[in-house]
This record gives sequence, structure tokens and C-alpha cells, in this order.
Amino acid sequence: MTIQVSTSSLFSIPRNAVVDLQSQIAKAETEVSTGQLADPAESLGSQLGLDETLQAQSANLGNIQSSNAIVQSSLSASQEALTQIASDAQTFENAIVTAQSSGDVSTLPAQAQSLLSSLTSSLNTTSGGAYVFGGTNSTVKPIADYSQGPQAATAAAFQTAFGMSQSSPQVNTISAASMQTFLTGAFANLFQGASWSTNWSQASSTRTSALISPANVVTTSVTANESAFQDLANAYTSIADLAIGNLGATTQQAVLSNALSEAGAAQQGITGLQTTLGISQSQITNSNSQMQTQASLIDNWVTKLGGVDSYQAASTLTNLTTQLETAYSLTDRISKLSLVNYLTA
Amino acid sequence: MAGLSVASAQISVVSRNIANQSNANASRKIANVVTVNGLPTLASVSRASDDALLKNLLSANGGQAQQSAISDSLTQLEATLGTSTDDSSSPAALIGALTNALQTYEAAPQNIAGAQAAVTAAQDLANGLNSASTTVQNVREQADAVIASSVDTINSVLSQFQQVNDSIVNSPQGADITDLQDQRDSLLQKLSSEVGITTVMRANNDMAIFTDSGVTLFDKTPRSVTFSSTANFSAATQGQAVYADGVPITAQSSPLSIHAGRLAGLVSVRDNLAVTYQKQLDEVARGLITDFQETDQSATPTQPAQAGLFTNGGSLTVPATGAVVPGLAATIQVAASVDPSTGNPELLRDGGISSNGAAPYVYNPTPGQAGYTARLTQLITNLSQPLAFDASASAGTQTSVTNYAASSASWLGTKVSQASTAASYSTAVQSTSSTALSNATGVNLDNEMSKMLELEQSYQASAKLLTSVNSLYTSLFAAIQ
Repeated sequence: MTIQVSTSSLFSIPRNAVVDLQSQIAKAETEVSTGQLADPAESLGSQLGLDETLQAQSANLGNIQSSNAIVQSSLSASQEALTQIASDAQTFENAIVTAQSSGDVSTLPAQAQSLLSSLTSSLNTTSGGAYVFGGTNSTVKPIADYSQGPQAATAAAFQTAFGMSQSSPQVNTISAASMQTFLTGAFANLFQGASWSTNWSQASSTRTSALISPANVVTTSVTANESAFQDLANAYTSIADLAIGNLGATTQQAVLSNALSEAGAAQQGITGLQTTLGISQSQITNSNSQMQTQASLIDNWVTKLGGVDSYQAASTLTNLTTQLETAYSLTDRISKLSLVNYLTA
Repeated sequence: MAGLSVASAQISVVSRNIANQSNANASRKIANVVTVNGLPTLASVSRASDDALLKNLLSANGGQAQQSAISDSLTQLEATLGTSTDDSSSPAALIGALTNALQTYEAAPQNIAGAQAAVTAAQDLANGLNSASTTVQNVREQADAVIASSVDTINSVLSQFQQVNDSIVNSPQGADITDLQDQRDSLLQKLSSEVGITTVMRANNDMAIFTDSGVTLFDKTPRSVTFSSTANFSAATQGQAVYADGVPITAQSSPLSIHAGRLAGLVSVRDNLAVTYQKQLDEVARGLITDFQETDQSATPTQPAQAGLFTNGGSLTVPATGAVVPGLAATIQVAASVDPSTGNPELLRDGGISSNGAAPYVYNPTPGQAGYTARLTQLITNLSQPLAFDASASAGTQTSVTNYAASSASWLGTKVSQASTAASYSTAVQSTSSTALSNATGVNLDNEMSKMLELEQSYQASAKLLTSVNSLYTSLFAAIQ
């Protein structure tokens, strides 16, 4: 038995095919031109969320790396300042050792004064608008200039201890023992605790921290209130502002050896601080390179999920075009295939 | 003479067929010729029909209309996820952008521009959720409106059906009712797109229609199908059911609910798919409010937690854990106290958004110290900490808000791809059924033309016979004269 084909279905088959092919071609065109799935929700289905998560993760990893660059630059600024402070301290120690043996202290006060202001400006280093030694109080200048407070405090302490000012001609009467008591007592107290915060430093003692990878928080700064800086300020001030030139020889030696030991302690402390920051720096470098690897793996994955193989997309497009052309010529042929055309009137 | 009249009657049937060739609903008419007393006569005209194929087509129509209604609506919902080239507007991508902004701010907490950028990212996220929620409710509202127009169509088709069916039933025996039957079939096809139906043929060509769940739509008279549409949809709105013959045919989990047709598709979008997706958006919003809530920071906390960066329309209450708050995605907003235009964005770093910078909700031990990052670190971490989500939203129960947003996208993606597959499958089934029915009952032009040639020849032969007889008589009469 032959199956009859109705004329309307004969015509509708290529017509439907054309509609279908055209919509497929539109999709393939988008895929070829963008390199991405034309309709991710439809093509990925249950993996759409994974695709979104991966894209967000990849963006997030990139973002952490660029925020790490900000942290890195502030760490480098800290390190540079620390290096400067340490080399200053070394210069200072050398000068004192020389003075100890020669007994000539005439140039020391001026040198100590300039080292002190160099220390102040190092501790007031900024990076990206933040004072790197400010602790959490990063928008306030941490260390005051010597003349803006500390000087008065030193003078007051001196006055209280010896009953005279540093400029008094009587200073040569101060004994080595009473100077020693002053240096380890009232004078040392100026560089500690509340007195330090009142006269010298506006910094917060809380070190700052930051997330450097999705799960890793590191210390990103040391503060101007670290004991190393207090010791160093102590050493510089004792030489600069205790009228060392006018003291008796043994008293002079007491001040010198105290300054030397304070500077030595400061140097050790600075090395410790440099190590702390160095660890953070290397942690950032490590997690950056780790995140880079991770990001490239994720990007690969994203390409596999949501990307389109350009060769495949292009050949699909060619196939569809050929098919569409076939459908057109079929429509043409079928329309010619009618008995009516062969009947003569 | 009988030959001539039969041939011309047959030719008229053929020309009817040819004329109706382009009418998809017209069937092929067949002239039934019988021999009475040795002479051919046209006894009746019948039509090519195939009840089984018609029933196939009716059910395929229902399936196709249902799936394409679902697929179309889901495509609209998909807009909330952004497109492939611009996927920055999906909730998951916006949460990612907020995380990034917080991280950048955390790396330079003294930078007020970073604070503003983070708050702006939060506002984008809140706006994104608001507009996604609006889209979902618009989809429901549209579905509701289309249900109303679908019910109108059903009622008008049923009343036309009554006229046609009455004409068929009341036709005298032997009359040509084929055109009326074609008309009735085409009305059935129209009806089957709106609602899944079954038909029963009675004596005298009478037909009754039932929904695929068994509720009477037409039996001698049409039953009224009623529906009252809802004007404004919000997450808490429930759409009305459609009633046929006084029985709800779209109520969920009712045994009398229809299974196919545009109505079934639209109702499942309005009452099921869009509702679930709204719940997921609401849960994302609730997760965000929870992640950014502020707790009492005193040594011995006594105050309850308050909503921080994100609030439910400005309320300080933190929603109860693990339960959907209907419509939260539509009302979530960024607290005014942290908005750069009305408040202080640095509260994001220091805490105290809920109390406008007053204790005990301030986290920064020395408020105003710009290097403080602990609260920001905590907020970033919170976004990846698991929370309890409502199981009824079908997108997971214990996961972070970031992952929850992604799994909501997965849920929608799954539905979209299922609907698209189902729609293209049901379209294929429908087109196959339609082709099969058209082949079985439709007209083939070539066939009709060749039949026409055959009839032409038989007409010519009859006519030739007449002229021959005529000439015989002429010569006979001439001989007589």
C-alpha cells in the first residue's frame, strides 16, 4: 500500500525546517562571534551555578592579587624605612664607640639631633595615604617633631631630677651615679607607656592586618610604638639633649654607654621587625603565585564549561548554512513538482 | 445521462478538495458512488478521517502548548541571571563584586573611596535583588493575565462548539455534514492547546468534551469555565484557581487538576516555578542581612543583634534563621547610615551601621582609627561561611550565601534546560502528529488532478455516447422521412 502524502504537509516540511535552521544559525553566529555559549542557562543547566561560582572565584583571585599589591607596596615602604633606621643606628653606634675611646663628644649632639629627625621622618613614612607606622591609627602622623612636645618633656624631667636646666653651667656637677639613676629611671620612662604616647607618638600599638588570600590574614605593618623605636629615640635624645658636652668625663661615659646599649637593643629589635614584615612579604608572594596557578586552572575550567570551541562552532555554522540552502532549493523543487504544470489545457 | 451527472458530481467533490487544499483543517472529501438498478448514482459524500491520529494530535497540542508556556516564562526569569556576555547582573556575580570591593577596601582601609566603592557594590547587589524580584512577580502577573485570556478563549471555543455540534446532531440522515465535522475538529484542536482534553463520541455524531482530569467541559451544553485574575503580584500573593463546571481544575495536588495545555503550563509557572525562584531570591537577601548583622560588642553583651549594611526596608530586626521571609528580596536595601549620600560609608569598617556609630554596636575599639581591618576581614569571611537556609526553597540548606546564589542559578539553569528540551520534544511530537493526520486526511493535489483527468474522460465518454446516440437517431429519422 502506498502512503498518501498530503500536499500541505509536503510543503510544510521544508518550511518548518527553514524556521528551525534559522534559529540554530542565529545561535551559532553568536557563539562564533563571542566565543561563548549563546544560551548558558539552557546549555549548562545544573552546571550554571558552577560556572558562575568559577567566574566569581577567578575575578576574586585577581582582585585579591591587586589588593595584595597595595599591601606589598606599604610593606616595602616599611622595610625601606626600617633599613634606613637600622643603618642610622649603626652609624650612631660607630660614632659613640669612637667618642668613647677619644673622649671627644663635641660633634655628637648635632649628629644625634639629625639622626633623631631622620628617625622621625622615617617613622612618618606614608604609602597610599596611610602612615605605615601608625598602626590602626593610620591617618594621623605618628611621631611628633622633637621640638613639638618631646623636647619640653625631656627638659621637665631633667629639671625635676637635677634641679637645673640642661643649659645650666652647673651640669658639670652631676655625678655619674645620679646620671645613671636618671637615665634608667625618669629619662627611660619618657620613652615608655603613657608618657611616650603623650609626648612622642600618636600611633596605635595595634599592628594592621589584611586578608592576603581567601583564608589567610597576615600582619601588614609594625607600629611606631615598637620598643625598638622607643629605645632608639631614647639613645638619640640622651646624646642630643642632655648637654653631654658640658658634663663631667665620667658622667659623659655613663651617658655614652647607656646610649650605646639602648642603640644596640634597638638594632636587635629592628632586625626582629624586619623579619616580621619579611615573613608577611614572602607569604604574600607565595599566596600570589598560588592564586595565579589557581586562577589559571579555574579560567581553564570556565573556558571548558562556558566557552565554545571556535573550530566546532564555525563548522556547525557552515553545516547549518549548507542545510538551509538545501531546504531552500527543496522548496523550489517541490513547488515545481506538480501535475498541474504538466497538464495542457 | 446517469454517467454525466455522476461524473459532474464527482468533479464537484474533486474541486472542493482542490479548493480546500491549503486549508489545514479541511479533510479530503470522498464521493461515494453506488450502482442502483445498474446505474451509478452519488449516494453520499464522506470525509477521510482518523480518530486515533486526531486524538494523538489533541494530546500533542496540549503538551506542546504547556511546555512552550513554561519555556517562554523561564526565558524571562533567566534575564535575572544576565546573559553570557554580561553576567555581571546575576545575584552570584553581584555578591562576588561586593566581596571584591570589600577586599580592596580592606587592603587600604584609610581610603574613603574604597568605602564608597564597597557601599556602592552593596547597593548594586540590593538593587539587583529588587529588580530580580520584580521580574519574577511580573512573570507571575503575566502568566495570570494569559490564564485569564486563555479562559476567555476556552469559553468562546466551547460556545462555537455548541453551535457546530448542534448542527451536526440535528442534520437529517444522509446530509453532507463533512464540512461541519471539519469545523468541529478544528475547534477541538484550538481547545486542546488551551487545556488538555479527551472526547467521547455519542450516538448521532454527538460529541462530549472532558478535561484530561475528567471534568466535563461540554456535554450537550458548554460548562462555564471561570477565573478571576489578580491585579498586583507580590511574593505573598497566591493566584486564583480556574474552575470548570464549578470544580477547581488548576488547584495544586487536586486529583481534578489538568495535566496539559497552556493553562497547565501557566499555572505551574505562576504557582510553582516562579514562587520557588522568588523564595531563593528571598533567601539570598536574608543570608546577606544575616552575614552583615551587627552584634553587641560590650564585654557582656545584652543587646540583640541588629541588621547592619543590609536591612529589610530599614528595619533593624535580623530575620529568624533558616526560614524564608516572603518578599525580602523586593525590600532589601542598604542602610541609610552608611550610604555615601546620606551617611558615613566608613561605618562599614568601624561597625555601628545599625546604631549610626553609637555603642555597643561599634567594632573598632578606637573608632575613627583608619587602619582597623578586623571587622572588614570578618565580613569578607562571613560571606563564605555556611548559613542555614530554608529547605522549601530547593537550593540547599547549609551553605554560604555566595554558594547559595550560585546553586539558585543552577536550579534555574536546570529548569530552563529541562523546559527547553521538553518544549522542543513536544514540538516535534506535535509536528509529527500533525503531519500524520494531514497525510491521512488531507488532500494530495496530484492525486486530485489525476482523478480529475479520469473523471474528465468518463464525462467525455458519456458525452460522446450521447452524440453517437444522437447521430444514430438523426440518421434513423432521416431514413424515415
